[in-house]
Amino acid sequence: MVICASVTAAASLSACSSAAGTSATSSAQSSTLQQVIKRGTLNVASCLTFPPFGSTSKDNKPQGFDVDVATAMATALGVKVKIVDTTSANRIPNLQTKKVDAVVCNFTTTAERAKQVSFSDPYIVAGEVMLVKKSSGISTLKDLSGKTVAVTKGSTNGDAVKAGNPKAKIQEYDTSSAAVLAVKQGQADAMVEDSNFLNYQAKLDPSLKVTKDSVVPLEYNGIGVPLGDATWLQWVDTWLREFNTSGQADTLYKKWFGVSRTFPLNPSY
Amino acid sequence: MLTDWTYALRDWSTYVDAAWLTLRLSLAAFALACALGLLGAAARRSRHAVLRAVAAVYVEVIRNTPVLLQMFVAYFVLPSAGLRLSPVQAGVLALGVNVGAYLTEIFRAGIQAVPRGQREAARVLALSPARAFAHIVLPQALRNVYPAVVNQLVQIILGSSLLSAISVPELTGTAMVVNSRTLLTVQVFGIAAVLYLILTNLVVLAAGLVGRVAFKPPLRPAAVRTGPLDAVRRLLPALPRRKEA
Amino acid sequence: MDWSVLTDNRDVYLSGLWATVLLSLAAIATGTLAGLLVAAVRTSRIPVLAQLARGYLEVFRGTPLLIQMLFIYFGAAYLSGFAISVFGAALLALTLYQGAYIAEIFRAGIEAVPRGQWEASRVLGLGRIQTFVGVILPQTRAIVLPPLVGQYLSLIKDTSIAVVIGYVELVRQGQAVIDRVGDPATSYLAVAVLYFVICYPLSVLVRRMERKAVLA
Repeated sequence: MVICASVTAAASLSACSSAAGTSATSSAQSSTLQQVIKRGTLNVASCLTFPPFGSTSKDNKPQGFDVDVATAMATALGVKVKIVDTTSANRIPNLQTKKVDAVVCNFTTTAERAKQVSFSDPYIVAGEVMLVKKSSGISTLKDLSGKTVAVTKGSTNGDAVKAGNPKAKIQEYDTSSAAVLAVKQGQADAMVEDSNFLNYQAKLDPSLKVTKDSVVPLEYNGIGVPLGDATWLQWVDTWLREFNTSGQADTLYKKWFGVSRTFPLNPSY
Repeated sequence: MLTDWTYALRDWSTYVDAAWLTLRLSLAAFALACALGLLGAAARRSRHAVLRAVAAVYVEVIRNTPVLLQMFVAYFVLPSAGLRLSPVQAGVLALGVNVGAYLTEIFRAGIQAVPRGQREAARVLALSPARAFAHIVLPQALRNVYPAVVNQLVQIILGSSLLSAISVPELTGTAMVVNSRTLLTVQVFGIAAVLYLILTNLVVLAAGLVGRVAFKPPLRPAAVRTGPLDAVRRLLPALPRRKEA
Repeated sequence: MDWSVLTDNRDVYLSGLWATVLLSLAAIATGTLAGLLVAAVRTSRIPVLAQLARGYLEVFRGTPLLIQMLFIYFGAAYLSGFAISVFGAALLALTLYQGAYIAEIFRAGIEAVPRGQWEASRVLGLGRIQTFVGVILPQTRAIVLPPLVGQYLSLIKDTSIAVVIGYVELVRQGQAVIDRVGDPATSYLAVAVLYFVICYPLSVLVRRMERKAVLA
């Protein structure tokens, strides 16, 4: 962990020394914010196998809720957006190696991950629910004893299900779409994933249904940014607040999910 | 760095379980592949045009498409046709069918390399075609192609790494899961790589021993002239043997 | 089977096909170079170099390509923090992996060239590299070409493995269509046909070359 953090710092310092301009404090100069503005392009990693958050349209262009959020962010900066397709497992490495400036891919904020990357405030909230065939009769975690549960490699769901019901059998797939296909083809009895994503999948296929209960407490998904870049993080948070309060966020949510938000973006304790 | 290695090695029993599964399913796939290879080789040399065509199509389709795609078909597409296989079953099927095509060609070449005289001699001795094939032609063909066949077993072991994509908990898939949890990439995949090296080397070693036991050394003293009937003689002790020089 | 799925998503499949072809051509070029280099080094008179070459061959032929790709793609971040693109990681892994097999193919060819050739070149005052490139290599053609092209065929199929690290090639595009529309059978059939179309001609070429080599 220490190596990663120090390497990230070294990388941003070396970017600083090759920058043409001078003046300003060195931390602001080397910030991703300045690099993006200078570059004219915002590189964002999104998961394009995760409709309606991210998918590929018929003309081979990225589309989805996360893609639109990333585009809005780039517009606010006055730059172009470049969407990089990523899998769940690649999200953190993409940030650590500065391949992308931000990750907008249903990225759940956890303390464990916060050791590697920084998170913005939540931009979408989800429960982790189960996708099952209507005929399966599964509705709670307890029903999963002895059943196979498909999850995505690199997500938190496999461990969550195991913790909730050790008798469940976990199958790990490279992408969420592969896991959904497994349920559709009867290879797995259930799939545990983000409630927004699964509601959309159930809408597409009438033989599937989504359970009401969440397998874990509510998950707050944020925009991932490289660790230690305070300037960039504060810009993202400020922009996100404007994005949410202006009603842009609600419009986008309704466009992609067809309903209003179910859970409030900020938890109250 | 050392603490990273010890942290990664904490999961050592997971790795060993996964490696054991890799070995077991590789051997099962190899058995299937050998069976298909022998059937395919026989079919390709058959007198019936339909059998020849079926075998040719099998070999061409399998050898000109990626094995990963074949695995996806075995696991994700077959259920639509009514056949639902578990990840391991689908994996063994896909790997077995895939390498079976390569073994078809290997066995075919090996059989073709057995001198025609052997078959003629077997016919002279009134051996049925089946017994001639099983006792005369096949052992010699196997000896011809043994290294190539063992290499295919190694390719199965290496190819099993792709089964992670259909959720088989074998060595590579397990390493990917541990990596996403610990992010100790070098250590995790390094350990997996070492285990693969151990597996492949063990298999080649064992195969070498088996080969030495199963196949009598082919070298004969130069003074003894060997003819087509000598192989037959060796296998049928009742026949009078030529005096060794 | 719903054929409209194929025509509707024509662009998606074709872009995947293009990505596959691109990676294949690049890897064929770099892999062949790497294989030549290693084959030359393996017969070097400097023991350290020869041992290194042998070690490289042992490791890269005894471990799966997928592990090598994952190691390079994720490991680059861990080791040095510099960015390697998915294409770069896939290309590097394919180069190293196929390079090992290609090196062995070249070795068989090189060893088949009579020792007299080496000695004659030395008598004529040609340096080691000159000998290798100008005298030995051209004579390996007949032995090397069939298995080499066969290895290229295997390389083209191996590019599909890059889908696991997220390279958007043909298999991945097949999956993308399934995500949106369903019907795995039709989509994967289309992908299989496209692979067959690029691979079968190479297969035929290999067989023709083998037949020529036997006759030669």
